[in-house]
Amino acid sequence: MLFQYFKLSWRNLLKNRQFSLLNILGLSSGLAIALLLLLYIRDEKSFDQYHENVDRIQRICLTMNYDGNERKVTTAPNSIGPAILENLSGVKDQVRTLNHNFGDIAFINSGEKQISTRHLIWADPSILNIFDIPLLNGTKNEVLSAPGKVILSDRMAKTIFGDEDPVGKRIKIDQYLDVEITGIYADFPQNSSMNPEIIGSFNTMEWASKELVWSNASFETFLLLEQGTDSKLLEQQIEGLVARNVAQEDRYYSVWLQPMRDLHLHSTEMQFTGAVVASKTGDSRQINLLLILALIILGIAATNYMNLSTARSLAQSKEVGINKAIGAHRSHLITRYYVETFLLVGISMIIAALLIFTILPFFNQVVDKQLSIQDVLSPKIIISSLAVGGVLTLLSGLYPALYLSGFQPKFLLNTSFRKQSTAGNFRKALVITQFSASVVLIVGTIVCYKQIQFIQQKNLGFNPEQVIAISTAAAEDIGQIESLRDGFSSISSVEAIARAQTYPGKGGSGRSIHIPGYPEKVLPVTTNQVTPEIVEVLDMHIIAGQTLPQRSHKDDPFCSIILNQKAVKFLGYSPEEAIGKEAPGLFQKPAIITGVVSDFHFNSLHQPIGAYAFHNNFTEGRPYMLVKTNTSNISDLLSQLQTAFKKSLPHSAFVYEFLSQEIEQLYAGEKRTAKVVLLFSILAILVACLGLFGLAAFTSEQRRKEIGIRKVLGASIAGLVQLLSVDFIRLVFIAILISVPLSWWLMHTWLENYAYKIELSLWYFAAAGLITLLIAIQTVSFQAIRAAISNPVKSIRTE
Amino acid sequence: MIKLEKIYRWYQTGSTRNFVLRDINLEIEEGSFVSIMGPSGSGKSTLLNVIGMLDQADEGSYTFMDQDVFRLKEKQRVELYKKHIGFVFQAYHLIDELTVFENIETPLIYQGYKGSERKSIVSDMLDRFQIVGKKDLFPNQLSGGQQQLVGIARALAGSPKLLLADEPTGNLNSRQGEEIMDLFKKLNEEDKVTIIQVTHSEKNATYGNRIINLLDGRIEQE
Ligand SMILES: Nc1ncnc2c1ncn2[C@@H]1O[C@H](COP(=O)(O)OP(=O)(O)OP(=O)(O)O)[C@@H](O)[C@H]1O
Ligand SMILES: [Mg+2]
Repeated sequence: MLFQYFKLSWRNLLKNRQFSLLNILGLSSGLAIALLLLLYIRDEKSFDQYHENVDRIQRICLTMNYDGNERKVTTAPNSIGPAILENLSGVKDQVRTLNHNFGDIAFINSGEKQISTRHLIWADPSILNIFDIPLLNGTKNEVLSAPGKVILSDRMAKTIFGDEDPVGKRIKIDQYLDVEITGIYADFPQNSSMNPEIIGSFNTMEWASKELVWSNASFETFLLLEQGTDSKLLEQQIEGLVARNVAQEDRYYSVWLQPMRDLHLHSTEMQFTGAVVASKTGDSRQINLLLILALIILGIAATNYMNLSTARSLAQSKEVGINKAIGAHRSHLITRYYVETFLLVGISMIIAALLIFTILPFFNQVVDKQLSIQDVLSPKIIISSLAVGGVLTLLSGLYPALYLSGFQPKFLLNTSFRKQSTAGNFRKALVITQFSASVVLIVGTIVCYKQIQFIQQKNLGFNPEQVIAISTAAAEDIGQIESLRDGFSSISSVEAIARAQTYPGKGGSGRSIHIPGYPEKVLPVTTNQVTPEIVEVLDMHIIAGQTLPQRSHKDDPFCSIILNQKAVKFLGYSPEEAIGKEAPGLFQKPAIITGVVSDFHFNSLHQPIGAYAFHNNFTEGRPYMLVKTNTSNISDLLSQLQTAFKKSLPHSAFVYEFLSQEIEQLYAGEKRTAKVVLLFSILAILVACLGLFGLAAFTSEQRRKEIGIRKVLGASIAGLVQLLSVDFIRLVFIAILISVPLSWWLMHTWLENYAYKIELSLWYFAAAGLITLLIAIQTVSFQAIRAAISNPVKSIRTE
Repeated sequence: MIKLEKIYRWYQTGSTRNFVLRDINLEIEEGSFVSIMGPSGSGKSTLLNVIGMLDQADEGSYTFMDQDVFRLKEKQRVELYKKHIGFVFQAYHLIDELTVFENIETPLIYQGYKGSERKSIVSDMLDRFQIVGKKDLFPNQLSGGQQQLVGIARALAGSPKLLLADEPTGNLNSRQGEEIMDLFKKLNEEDKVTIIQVTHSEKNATYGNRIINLLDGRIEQE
């Protein structure tokens, strides 16, 4: 019997080509989009799951408390890991990792070859036992067993040595550190949070490994638990361990454990300064957003199908009636319509698969991933696709199967069918839902883009344009730096040069100041050691005083600082009052305020502006030379800079960054989300319009006779188009009314993520509504016009 | 075979009841050939619907082959009529997407016949109505008379005891109509199929052995 149904359905599909085509188009694009999103989500969720021990690995994190402010960091002091291993049960192993130069560039020299990388880490040898890092060359117990040993990723080995065997060779790091290559490991997979290209033995870094201390939280530490250890209990025991070792007044942090499984998607609130797992973090909120989007799109596709089916119900009801009269049970008919739905969904699945293969490269580009056909064909994805197809079949078939199968056969005996109320209200509700979803998506897209634009155009309080940061970390002595500065300043398009520890958008050192006389009233300050030209290079606005003094020396009895308004206000001074005063708590030696600059955004606009200090105390290095230029011929300038660089620092690689690009990088996540949301909104609206198009087509079809008669009676084409369109347009209007408050609320909630945000203005909603309305009118009137200009005699006769 | 007692059927419009059938009492013996006549709107189709179990009366009782029809569950009722009753419609009502062969086969599928049985029954029917050559055509490739032949073949495929026909010749020309009527007569006499037909034509009514006149929902006289 099933075979009969397939045959019947197949012929039905062929007979109603337009209907089938619209359905297949809608269903397959809906499926393709939803499956792509699922693929993306699955990839995000697969991060780090490949480690065999993933369920037993925990990262030690700290929550730091400053006077009501909380900061969560992913790094810990170097003593915690070993102390836990020694004193607490239930822990099998621990590994401490340290990002070389806290994540700044490392310069590698091998013979004549110069390479720079940000992916050099130092780690305990246990890293090879805790994580899945297969060695291609070398033995686990030896490769990191002593100071001065490093192992390379396969990729890095090929980059430096080509086809030669690197094991036993030596490389130089940052000109001073001479290390031996003891092994090669397989490249980390693309879905790994951690991605070092070089791993060196931890005790190579003497300052980090010799002395174990309970302050200086710079080390990302992972624990491998014994089977069955309760991590909550362990957390409490660690708390106790810390309490026994750190005096109450020095304990500025509390310790907690983060499961390895949560690393990728649940670390958005953490600060990663210097952490190994820094670059790639996902966001569970984004995943949820995309999941909802996938469901909406599937819902719209299913709705289309139901809509079109009910629109055809007049014709279908006859078939149902006949079948019932010749002995069909309701269950026969339900099966029959499900077979038809199944057939359509099946065809659409195949087309969706083809679609996915075609657009995968483009999709990868948009979402910044490297998904391959193999990923698509993995059993898990295939099974979940089939599940999605199954659910779609059940859902889409629900209405036609149940509604149509309920028709009574007694109407058959009447010579002509009576107009029954054919699911009108249900269909209206579906259209309204679809278009409400579309309007919400459009508003979402507009607001998303406006907010990003706002961020980009916001006055940051300094000017990052045309500022280039050049790393001088690899300079062998101060003489090279002086010569480099001279070299740069002789280039005509260079306006100013400053040396700096860091620059806005890239963090800094965390310190704190307190109100004079109240040591317990503290405020965290981001500090940055710089030369006086910084004000000119970054085009900062000085409101009082002046920049740092030209000359300063290590042995000076005091140091000078420039504070921002926020810091000065906290101290209780007006900018003018502050000049010459001391900012207590910052350094061991007194810090005298020489200037005050207006507040500027040194962090992303997610966070409100905090306190900031430029200083000339010799507490940190200054690995950057910031160059302000005034030319539009960037490539020319870069080659001039490189020539000067090679002349002064012949043994190191020329590495530079544009400040403006670095700042944009802060919003890469948002931009990606916005792009994805835009893309899928367009597709969702397209699918919704497809449905409306079909609906309009079938309504016109149904009313052909009426149109014909009206025309014979003298109705104008414009009048007919209006007659046919007005019902749909009214529905779209209602959809707009419903979606405006909904989208307002959604967008309001989303914008809460930002400390600096746009106002939701009425025109966003008006624009979204108008766009939807215009598209809907276009779609419907196309059909209406077609129906209205058809020959009336023909349509009357065919009835 | 059929016994209708005090059958009433009405449609509610607002607070008033519009009676379509009033106090119908009717007995039909197995093997008879009955023609129902009456002006348009007099309730002929409605009566046929009730007899064919496609519709229920609002009042009264209906006994079909010793079963109290109105007391049966929906499922049992379908079982009863699909086994014993065949329908022929004025508008043929063939399934457009199925071939002649498949149209005749469909009720057999619903009655649970096996594939090979179905094949032989349908072949018999095609033979009997001399439409073997048309078996792979679709309804829209046939003339009206041919379509009605297929409709009758379909109705008879499950060898029903009762054939209900609502103006079976209404859409046909007089020659085609006569052919159908001859066929009915033959079925009634040779195969002992009970036939109830609705017709507007005095001439067609004479093919049967009993005429029932409906006027305004009542049986007039016989
Ligand atoms: N669903 C309904 N709602 C209201 N009235 C109905 C409905 N169906 C039928 N009727 C009424 O019942 C009456 C009988 O209808 P029926 O179809 O049985 O007439 P008929 O004798 O078969 O007429 P015709 O010869 O034109 O086919 C008509 O007056 C019709 O208006
Ligand atoms: Mg009638």
